[in-house]
Amino acid sequence: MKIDELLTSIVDGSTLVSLLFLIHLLCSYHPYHRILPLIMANLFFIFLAISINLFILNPNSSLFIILKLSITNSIISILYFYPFLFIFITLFIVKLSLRKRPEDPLLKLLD
Amino acid sequence: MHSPQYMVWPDIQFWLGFLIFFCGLSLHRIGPAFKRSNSGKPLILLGFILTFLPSGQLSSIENDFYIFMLNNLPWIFLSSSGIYFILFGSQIYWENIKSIKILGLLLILSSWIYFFTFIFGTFDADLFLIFANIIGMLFAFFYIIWAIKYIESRTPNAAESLPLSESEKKYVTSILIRNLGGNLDED
Repeated sequence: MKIDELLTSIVDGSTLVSLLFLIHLLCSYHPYHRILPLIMANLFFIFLAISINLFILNPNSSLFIILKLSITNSIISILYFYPFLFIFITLFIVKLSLRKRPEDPLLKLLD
Repeated sequence: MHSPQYMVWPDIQFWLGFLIFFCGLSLHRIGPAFKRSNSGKPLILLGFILTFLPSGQLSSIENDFYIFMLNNLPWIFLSSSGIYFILFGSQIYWENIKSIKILGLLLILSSWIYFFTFIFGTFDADLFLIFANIIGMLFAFFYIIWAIKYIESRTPNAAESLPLSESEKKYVTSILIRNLGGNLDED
């Protein structure tokens, strides 16, 4: 494994998260949210990540291919990582399902 | 198979489905916890259909990705449904629903059985690259947290808000009564 592949993998992950955050900012817009500074900060990060990927790590590739590979590699990584995470989720969920809700004096007042 | 320089329609449909899926997830987060945006769930479903029902042969990158996701879809679906049912059955404000929780536990158990039977043996990726990718995601995540914190700290403080009007008080009370139970007339 070359160091280039490792760095590309790191940049791919950063690209996916910042792209998803950009989609989230645009889709969850409401009038009381000042999203412009956040969009600018996020766009700066995306351009930085793509530039590193395109001009330093993979100069022979195209922007189109790099974006596609960033997204696919990152989602595949999430799917590979999910079983590790799912172990903890399962333990937590089993614990939650066995737990009895403690008496709440405030909720008792409602009865 | 190779990736052409231009996008063919099945590829466009595939990526459009992804975009709509994530837009739906974000839209679903708008609004209070007990009433989410109405357009979120239909968009999630539409994105899912567009992504998983391609209208033709996908290009190489999309096709490999599609097959990988399709293989993992059953156990991810079983595990997500199990988590949802257990959380639904252990609601915070209402009584526990034991039958729903048992169904959730069974779904989680079946997702693990499916994973070890069909998926575990096919996992052959370089774990270092996977962890490097996760580190990249965490790096971007922490950058976003820092950016939000920095931008919020530079936002001027808003003037003190006016107290609630009678109609607003009534609205807030009705929300609390609806979600915590009780009687509006007792007030």
